[in-house]
Amino acid sequence: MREGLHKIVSLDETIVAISTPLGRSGIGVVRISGRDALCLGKKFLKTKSPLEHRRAIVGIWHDDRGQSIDDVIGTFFQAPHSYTGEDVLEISAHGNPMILGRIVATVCGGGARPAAPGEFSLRAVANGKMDLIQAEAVREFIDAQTERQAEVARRQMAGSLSNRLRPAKEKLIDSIARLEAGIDFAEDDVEVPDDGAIAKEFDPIIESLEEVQKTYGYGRLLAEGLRVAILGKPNVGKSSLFNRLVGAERAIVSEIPGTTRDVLTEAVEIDGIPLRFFDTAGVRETLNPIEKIGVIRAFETLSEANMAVIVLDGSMALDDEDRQVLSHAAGMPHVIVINKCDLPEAMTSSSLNGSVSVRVSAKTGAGISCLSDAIRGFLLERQSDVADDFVLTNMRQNEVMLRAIGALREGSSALRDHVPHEMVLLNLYDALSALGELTGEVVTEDILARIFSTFCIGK
Amino acid sequence: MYDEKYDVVVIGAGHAGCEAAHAAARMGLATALYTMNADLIAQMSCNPAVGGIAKGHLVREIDALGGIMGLVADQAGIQFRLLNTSRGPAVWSPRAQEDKAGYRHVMRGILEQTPNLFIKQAEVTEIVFADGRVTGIELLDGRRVQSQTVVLTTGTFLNGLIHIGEKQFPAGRNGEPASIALASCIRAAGFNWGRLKTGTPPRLDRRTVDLSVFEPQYGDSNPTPFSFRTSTSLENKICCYVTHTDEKIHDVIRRNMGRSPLYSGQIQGIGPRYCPSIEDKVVKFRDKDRHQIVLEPEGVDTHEIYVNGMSTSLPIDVQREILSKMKGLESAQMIRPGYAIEYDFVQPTDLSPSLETKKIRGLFLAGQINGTTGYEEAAGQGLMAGINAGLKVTGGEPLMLGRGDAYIGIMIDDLVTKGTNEPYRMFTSRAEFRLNLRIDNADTRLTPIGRRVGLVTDRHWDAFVERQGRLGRLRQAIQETRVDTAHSFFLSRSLEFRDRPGIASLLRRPEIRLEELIREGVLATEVLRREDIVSAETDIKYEGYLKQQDKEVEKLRKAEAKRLPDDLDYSRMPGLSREVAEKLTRVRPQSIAQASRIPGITPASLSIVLFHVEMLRIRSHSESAVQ
Ligand SMILES: Nc1nc2c(ncn2[C@@H]2O[C@H](COP(=O)(O)OP(=O)(O)OP(=O)(O)O)[C@@H](O)[C@H]2O)c(=O)[nH]1
Ligand SMILES: [Mg+2]
Repeated sequence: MREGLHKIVSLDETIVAISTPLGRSGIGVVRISGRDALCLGKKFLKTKSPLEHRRAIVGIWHDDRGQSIDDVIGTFFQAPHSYTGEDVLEISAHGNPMILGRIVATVCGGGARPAAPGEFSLRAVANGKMDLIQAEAVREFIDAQTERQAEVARRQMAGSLSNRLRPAKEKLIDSIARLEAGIDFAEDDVEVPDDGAIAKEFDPIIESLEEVQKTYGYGRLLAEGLRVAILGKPNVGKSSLFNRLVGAERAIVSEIPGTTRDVLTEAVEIDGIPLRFFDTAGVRETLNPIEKIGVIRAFETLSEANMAVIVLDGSMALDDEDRQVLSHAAGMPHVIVINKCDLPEAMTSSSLNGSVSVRVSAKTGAGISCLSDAIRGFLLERQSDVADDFVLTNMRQNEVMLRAIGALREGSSALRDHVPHEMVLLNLYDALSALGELTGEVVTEDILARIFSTFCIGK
Repeated sequence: MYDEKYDVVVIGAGHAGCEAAHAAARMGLATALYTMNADLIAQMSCNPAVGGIAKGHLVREIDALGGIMGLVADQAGIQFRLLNTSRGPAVWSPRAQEDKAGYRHVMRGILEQTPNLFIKQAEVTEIVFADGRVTGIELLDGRRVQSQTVVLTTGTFLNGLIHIGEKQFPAGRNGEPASIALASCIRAAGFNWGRLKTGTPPRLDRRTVDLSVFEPQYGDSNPTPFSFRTSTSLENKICCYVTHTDEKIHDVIRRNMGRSPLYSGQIQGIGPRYCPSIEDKVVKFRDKDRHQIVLEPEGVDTHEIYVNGMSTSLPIDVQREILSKMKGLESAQMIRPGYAIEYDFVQPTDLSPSLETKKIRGLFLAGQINGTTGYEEAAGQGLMAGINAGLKVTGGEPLMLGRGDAYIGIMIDDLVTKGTNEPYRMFTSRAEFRLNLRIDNADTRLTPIGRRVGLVTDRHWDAFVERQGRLGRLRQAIQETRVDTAHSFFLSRSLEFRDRPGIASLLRRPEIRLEELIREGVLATEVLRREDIVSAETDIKYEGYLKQQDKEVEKLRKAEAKRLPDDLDYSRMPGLSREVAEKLTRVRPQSIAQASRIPGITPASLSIVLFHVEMLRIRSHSESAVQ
């Protein structure tokens, strides 16, 4: 067991956090501090000129697949001339929590970890960047935060998360106790099942952890909102539908195909879950350079969305352009909307090859509630990942869960390869300490207690 | 005032006391070793064996530091086995059956040959101290002995109380008087003391036992010594015998449970869970229909046999009935009955990691008095207490081994950080960096440290340097040698290669063993010891796991480097709960790493402490800048 060590905030990893209060503020700042700050900036922030100490530089933040996330301003502060005394990169982006969250996620993917409460200040103090008075002030802040927050967090977690994870943790302790007994009490007649049998025991543990981890998808939707892209060929009534859904005349509507050029977005709520609709340019082959850009943006929006609403014009037969659009959305959750149902019907459902569709009229409002139901259905489907009322919403918790699952998988495959148990146990303790971070620590004594209550040991 | 004067006084000549006295004397300090009976120095009061899983690691470490237990156990050993060889080398551990009389004899010989070490037979009745500092001891005969350091290693003697069935009587070991006066002195000094219990099985007369019905357990054909310094080959002179209890015997025990002082409420002390008495086993593991019993000879010149697995405090007539129901022991004669013993111990959170008490400077405690059990645990602490008493006299910094350095370090850290509620025993599972703490590298880890404090003799050091050189050459050969793929080794195993692989890359394959490569001449080397090969091979075969572990060790070292000043006032640290502040005040952790191991200390409170200490640092900086 790595007694205690995981409890200490390690001051030499690179950390990241959103450092403006979350909400609908105009601008948000993500702060990265530590040795890898510059390197992460170089990786994810595309700028014309290189990052330099104290210079604000405009650029585009990308994710690890090279997809752009937002236009941002990056400012680099070289150690020791920064708030924390370490290399610091500050990224100012649009204050949309979703965007800020995604920036943090890319940084974590690049090897940083989410900062603990007050950690930036702690580092500033540790690196001698604050005078006494400043430090006193910050300390009060941390004192207030840490113990109270820890208490609040502990209470919250003591409920649902702990309850969800406890059975898995207990099983894991059992397996560890068994392997340890085999090592430490090889002289006593302790029976240890063969490697394959023990590895099999991990399958249900991994499964149950995955079940919990899966809820993060829904939890993130809860926290960040559902992104719905409206897509279709020109003139099918996307903007009209958008206006209908957001309940305001936000988008220009005209009978001229190719009216919408830029992406428009508006937030609403369904069942208390924040939802963001995106109206996009009609998709078609075009020579018009401006319209072309619009089409590219439409596809970008689609790739970043959680689901798509594909709009077809019901007063006309399905054509190749429609089929093109449908194929783009095929790989992701989507709803097909047959619009203009107030007009005589020309599109047969059979032409959609059995795909489920909703008939609506953006003009009269008919069928819109069915569309809302379909979106709600998608949310419900996500919710079905959630067995009880428990949802993982916190990125840090999610990371810890992933660490536990990864370590268990490694341990299980090492066992199948007959790696000696004292090494396999490294993986298992890794998993256990991750679970301990979420539910309350486990110490060596707990393992020993399990050994002594399970096996009759000793001479 | 004083009749005599020494630099270091050691009270008790058990396994802890012998190491302590030897270490201090080796460091050049005038050392007196007090025992109530000079004929019973290094008496093995329980089983006739040294080592075992994790315990064997302790012995190796003691030896690597320049201690003597390993040497004695090799010389007095009569059967040797390396345990756990079906697993990786990190958990291989040597164990040996010992000739009890031989063990005492060899140990006494070594002590008598140690310069500056004086063996004294007398009962110590008091530890004299003033202003929180030891000044000496007082003996039963009225003499006073001056010393600025005292190492107390009283084993089970402090207020020892033996239980056999309904009978109980004061004793330190069966047949030896308890230390009553000294115990009152310790209780009066205000330590947090408590009671623990341990037990021992009956001993039989071999001539009355039918050994033919048991399954013999033999020693290794190629014995592994404890000591890196043992060069003579070791010989197995006896074998042990394995058998099991059955339901008939369990019935006898159940029927007589009311007469066991353990279950009648007569014994208050807490016994070890991993060394339960036979009555405990039967009660707690109802569905187990048999328990293992091993008959271990107590020596080569005696008929006495130790009945391992049958520790008990049941009345003598019940012990006899149990034995009579066991196949082969039907007419066994008992030489000594089994018994349980309760004794005083001091909660080890009263100690600094140097094993010095926080209350009385210059007073060091080691062994069972600190709540441990086992000869090896005692010896490990004795060694460290002796070294630190010596360093105290010479004005050196105390020697404290980290959890990443040695099992000894883990044991002491566990004790002083968490205290204990049952006799503490070493397990490999207590070692979070188990893969690094192997018997084959104990010398690499610790001999330079032993040399620095003056424990490692020139001869020992030369042998160490020689082995390191040998290892270095072997490692280099492994890295640089490309094999001849036409060698019969590969042909006979139908292994084919596109080019000539290096030894190192071959060794990464699980099925290829360095020992075989050397034996079959694929790699030519000088004459090596088996453990040289193990050391070199392990580093390559398990590189990935070792690296993973090294990262953790690195984290630990950093957290250990964050020192917590001795005079931190936790009660006035804003944001800490009272409970946490009290725990920190009691243990007085030396580093943030040690603080993190105190049960119940939250991550948030650690951040607060860290923060506070950093602020103190800034304050002292800015003050010194002003001046
Ligand atoms: N009858 C009828 N007409 C509709 C309906 N929805 C939209 N229209 C008309 O269809 C035309 C195009 O509507 P828009 O909403 O601009 O269509 P769009 O898909 O956004 O078009 P682009 O932005 O050019 O791609 C307008 O003349 C609308 O009035 C409907 O439900 N019924
Ligand atoms: Mg439009």
